[in-house]
Amino acid sequence: MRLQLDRRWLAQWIGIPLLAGALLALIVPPPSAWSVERMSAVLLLDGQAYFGHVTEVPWSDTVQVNDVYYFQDARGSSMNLPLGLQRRGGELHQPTDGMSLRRDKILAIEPLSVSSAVRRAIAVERVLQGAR
Amino acid sequence: MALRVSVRGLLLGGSVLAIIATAVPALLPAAGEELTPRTVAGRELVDAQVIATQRAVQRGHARALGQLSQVRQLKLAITEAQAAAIERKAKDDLSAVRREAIATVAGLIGLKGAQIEPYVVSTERELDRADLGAEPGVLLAPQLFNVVRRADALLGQIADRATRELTGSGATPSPRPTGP
Repeated sequence: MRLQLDRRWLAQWIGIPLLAGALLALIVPPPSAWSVERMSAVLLLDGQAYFGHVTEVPWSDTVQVNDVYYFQDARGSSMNLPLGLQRRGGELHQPTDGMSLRRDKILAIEPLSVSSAVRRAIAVERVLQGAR
Repeated sequence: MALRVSVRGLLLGGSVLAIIATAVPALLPAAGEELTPRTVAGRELVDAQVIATQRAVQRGHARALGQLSQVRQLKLAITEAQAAAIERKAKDDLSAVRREAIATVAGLIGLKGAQIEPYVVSTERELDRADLGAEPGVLLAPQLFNVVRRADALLGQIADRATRELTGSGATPSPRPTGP
């Protein structure tokens, strides 16, 4: 038996669906995460930590972080905490939202629990941004 | 099964794959960010953070008053009337900073115009009565943290300035050793 497959049929029914499926698998989060915001802490080798939405592209040498927050020294303040939370974007050079971090500078990426103090502070910040 | 692919077909396929491989890293973060839901706090959590902010400002205010009080217990080189005037001015300034901080918080939570003054007055009254013992710290939202940070800086400056004026340490600089 001789099976004749033409290139157009292969592309239309195998090649394109395969590519589309691969792209969707990369872009769309798994169903278990659809209704939950995933926030992570990105811990760098130099001790700095950034919090936000982490996107990793497997073949890229950088990791993208969006909606970025970080700790700032608050020793001696009246908050009874040595750290305060800041949103990235208010610095002198006013970076727009999102930053790329080199993989070789990252020590760890850890998901934040829903009840973490950082997530709670960020959730309040969003309310305040909407209230004004 | 014989599958024949021309060089032109291979080049075309390779080009398409290269474009996809280049475009996906650029598009993926933006697409993922658009799809990510945002969690916002409920009323209870916002109220807790607002109260924590006000109490932090009050702690800074109390600390500055404490510094003034300690200096007033010293035997000063200026007259009692001068010292009382400096102290009164400093206390007024400290109260103004606290009031401004509370008004800023009121603005952040959406109060406007005529709503702010009654809010500030009632909050000041509550804070004056509050017991600020050893409370655990609360990680504040960035905008609330900035209110506390700014109030801390101003309260500290006012207390330090009043201390200098009361002790006269600002009038004549201390002698410094000179180099060889």
